[in-house]
Amino acid sequence: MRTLLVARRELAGYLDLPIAYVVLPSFLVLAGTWFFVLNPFFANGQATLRPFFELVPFLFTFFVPAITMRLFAEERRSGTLEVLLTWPLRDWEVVTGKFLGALGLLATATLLTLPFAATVAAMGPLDWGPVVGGYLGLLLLGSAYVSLGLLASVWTSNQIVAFIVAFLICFAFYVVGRALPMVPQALAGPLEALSFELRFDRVARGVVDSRDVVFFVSVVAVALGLAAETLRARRWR
Amino acid sequence: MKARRREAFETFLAAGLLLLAAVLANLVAARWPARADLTAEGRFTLAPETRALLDTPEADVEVRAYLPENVAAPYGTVVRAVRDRLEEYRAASGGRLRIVWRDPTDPALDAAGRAALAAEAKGYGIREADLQVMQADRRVRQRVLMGVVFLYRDRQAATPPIEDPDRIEYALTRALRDVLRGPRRQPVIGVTRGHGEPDLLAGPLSEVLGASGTLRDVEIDGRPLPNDVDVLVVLSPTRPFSARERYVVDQFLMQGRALILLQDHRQQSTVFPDVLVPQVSGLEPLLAHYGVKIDADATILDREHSLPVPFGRDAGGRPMTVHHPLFASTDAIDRAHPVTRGLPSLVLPMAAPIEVAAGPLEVTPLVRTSAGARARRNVRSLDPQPLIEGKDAGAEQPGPFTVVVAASGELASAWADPQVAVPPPPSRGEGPPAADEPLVRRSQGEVRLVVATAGLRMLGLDRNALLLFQNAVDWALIDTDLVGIRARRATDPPLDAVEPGLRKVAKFGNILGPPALVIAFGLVRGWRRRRTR
Repeated sequence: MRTLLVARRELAGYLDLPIAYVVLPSFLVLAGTWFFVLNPFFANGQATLRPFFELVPFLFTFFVPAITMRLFAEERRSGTLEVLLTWPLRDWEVVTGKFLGALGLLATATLLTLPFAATVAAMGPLDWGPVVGGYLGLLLLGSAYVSLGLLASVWTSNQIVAFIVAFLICFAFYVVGRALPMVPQALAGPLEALSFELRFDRVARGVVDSRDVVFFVSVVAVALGLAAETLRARRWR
Repeated sequence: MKARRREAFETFLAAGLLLLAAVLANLVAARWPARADLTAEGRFTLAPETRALLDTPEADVEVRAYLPENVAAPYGTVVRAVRDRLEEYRAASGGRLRIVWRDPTDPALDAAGRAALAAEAKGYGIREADLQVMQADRRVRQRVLMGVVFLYRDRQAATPPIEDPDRIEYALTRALRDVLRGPRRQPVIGVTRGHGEPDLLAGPLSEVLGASGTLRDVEIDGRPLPNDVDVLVVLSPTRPFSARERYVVDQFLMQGRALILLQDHRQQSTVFPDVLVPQVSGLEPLLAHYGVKIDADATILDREHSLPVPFGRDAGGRPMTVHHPLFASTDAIDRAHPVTRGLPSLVLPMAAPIEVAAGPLEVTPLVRTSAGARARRNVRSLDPQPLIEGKDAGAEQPGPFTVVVAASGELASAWADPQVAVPPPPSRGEGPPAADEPLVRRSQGEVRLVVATAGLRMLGLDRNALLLFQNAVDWALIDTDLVGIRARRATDPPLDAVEPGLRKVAKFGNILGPPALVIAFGLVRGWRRRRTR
């Protein structure tokens, strides 16, 4: 319950800031322009959202750090983190609440692209299975990115540093799948297992595999756990 | 100080335990995976055909999977997908499938062990896959044993090398079916040569068609066709068959055999690529006798449903892509027929209309153009602009047109009438003509035909056309029980026809609508906050 209160406060905080009205529309315009103009959907003439789901994980690598950079860094910079930590809340409740708040904003942005799917469905026989899989995959991938961005934000009081660190982490997990042909064979297996993109692609085909779900959930758990422990460490430092 | 150290220890311990728990959770998930296939047709779930086969063994089936664990990326994904699929087969077999995993790249194997394993796999008919990998910043070829053999009683059947994740189920189920079905003569697919056809046996299509039977070159020179050929494939000849060659094809069919003709009726000039020259197979008169009339002078164009293809260069020398009316696309497909089952769409480059006449064969139109397609006579230029602008459109014939048909039944020879003279066999040297075989006037069994008025060009452009080609071979060989699995590799379905105005609304509505909604929400929220202050 207290976690949800923090999440609500965080989400409301986002919606009160101009950044939400820059980042969200930018994301939507980019996704829409890619899918309908640059891709281009009508010229390809196929009833599928696959090109959209190919782009969004890449967009998330910029977009999510822009959301998460202020989660803790801003509170530390302005000194409100100390106030927050005096609340009757456990560290994990603060971390989880902030995570859910940021995820709420990301989920809102993602759901605002649902008209794309409705448009395709109105113009051809769209298979909704891969669409549901794609959105579920975006939620899982977005959760993992948000948790990593939050971790980066806990580590620093500078929002720009938090953004860059989060971007580098997210980007590394994103491109690792593409770098596989260039790495030694012995490393290929472990790196492939860490590839967000390959796992997301599987879910976005319309196949929800417990291994992929557990992977994303465990990334979130580890990142949030480390963030909570970092907060705890601030107390004894 | 002591308390701080303890706190630090607890923090690191907690972080370590968390990581350990995450690793364990992933290992457990990998050991007992579960998955849900959300696709409408269960594309990634075992097909009913596979499940039915897995119910039939009366004894255990041993599966030996030669799958390299240390294979270069990105082929590791394929290996894992094969593993997962085989596990699904095992689960669905109710314990009748026993899998033995063999790793040709196992580091524990010494050179002798590796050689023994390779010999064992090759003994089962497993072949090496050709992979392209990066080594020291260079692209190199790597050959790795990668296949599965099914052993049942005293029989065995191996898959071809599995490199494409979309082909896994088809390859496995085909091998399983072959091993369960028992000894059976391998059908022979004759591929005609001698009239400018592509060399199918040397190209990538050989792998595609090789799954259905043994491929064999058949020289068309007027002599009777070999007796062991079950289906004759004629793909885009550039020099027409002579009357004598038509006769030998007719007599081949009279044995109750099958013919597949995929013919391009317009060819690009080798000197001036924008100039189109007519091209016929020479088999058109024969097909017309059977009730399949090809209007080879007419070329189909579709201004609304067409494929973007490279054509010409812009002012900066960059290649241009245009929606070319001569590359019509269609989704008017008979999806119930085995030849076209599950195909969502097809591209028909420069196709010619087919007219079906009443005759002895039961002819099924399989693919039609859209109603908006037009047929134009004597198209001689590839330049799309006059066609887009509709110059001389008044002379065009309105569609829709049939472009692919399948026909079957018993029929009379085109030379059944004693008044029609049989073209003499070719002479050899200066002696008299070679002795001819007796004329067969009526087919001895069912004849099967598949005719498409787009050929090699269509196969090169459209993955669905390859599926059609493979299905046609299987249908001609009366071997269609796995066609449904193959159809799962088809492309996404095409969009319906949309008015240009509606397209614009959809495009800009989607690009600008949701962001406008967000900004409007922000303005309202800001205004309400200011009011409450």
